[in-house]
Amino acid sequence: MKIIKDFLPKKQFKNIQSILMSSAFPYYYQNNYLDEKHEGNVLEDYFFVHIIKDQIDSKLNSNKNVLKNILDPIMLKLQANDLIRAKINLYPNQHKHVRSNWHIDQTTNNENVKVAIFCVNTCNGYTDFKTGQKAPSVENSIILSNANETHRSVTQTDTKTRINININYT
Amino acid sequence: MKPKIIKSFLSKTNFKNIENLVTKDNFPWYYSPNISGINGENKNHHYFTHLVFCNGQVNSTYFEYFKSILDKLKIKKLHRIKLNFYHNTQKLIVHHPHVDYIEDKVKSHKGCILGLNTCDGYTIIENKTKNGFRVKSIKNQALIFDPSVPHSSTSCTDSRARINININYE
Repeated sequence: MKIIKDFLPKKQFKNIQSILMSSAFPYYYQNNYLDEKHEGNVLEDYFFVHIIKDQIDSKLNSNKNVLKNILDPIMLKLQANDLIRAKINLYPNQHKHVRSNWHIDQTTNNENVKVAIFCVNTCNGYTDFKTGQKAPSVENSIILSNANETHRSVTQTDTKTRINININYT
Repeated sequence: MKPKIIKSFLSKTNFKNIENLVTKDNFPWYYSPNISGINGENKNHHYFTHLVFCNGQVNSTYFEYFKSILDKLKIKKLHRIKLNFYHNTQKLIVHHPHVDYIEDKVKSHKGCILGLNTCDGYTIIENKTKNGFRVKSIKNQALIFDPSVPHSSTSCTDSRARINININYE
């Protein structure tokens, strides 16, 4: 796992942040994302998502502006060749650190498949890696890992939302 | 105008149509960092909305789904239809009191809050008593009241979310 701070130029980042934190950007409510092993309350089991590219049907769900203003600058900077999946996660403040299940994003032996988690805002939520590493949520930083690295997301308690962009790519 | 409660407001079929629509994982919600519009609002106060009708204009492709409510209310003039989504919080949060505006003015008109699910959240309408007039969130129950009178919403603790529809009309 590797973290790159100040990943995008400030102006480009601020543009992404203002779009994703505005009241005009649609998010979609999801529940039942935690599995039966989850130790917390079943009522904690929700977050919001905006799928840019769905892996199952390979469809681009977002409009051209989302791709142009949000995804393209990150893909370009990553020097990515191919987009497998991309989604924006929004976790509302649940007043405790809710941990998702340990998971891997892709079951593949292809070492070229990478995961990038781009942090849109700074908060005390974080990404935990099974190796013991912890990647904090710091705005405009990106967390890079191989697709087969086990990790989980942890929600925040100090801001209204935690927003990040999850990209699986080669 | 005295607040009025109407149980089983819509027919089962009409209610189900709306309930199914807004609880689907492809229904868009828009994040709002502020509920009452008061400056310096508590950091725990935020919600998601979906504006169906506003400023004399349809604002959502789902407008047709809500016509059954308008018919039932015998509306002469529609000002706004807004869906509210308050996510679960560990402790029940009572939001700041506010009044509903029409064309930037506080003007006497009618308000209807239709509960889409049953939970421990509620609406408080200020009156001469200390606790105000409290109305529980009950599925398919409508509250008709004067929204120029200060009122507050709450979150919920016993359900993943509290969802309701707020209609301002004459």
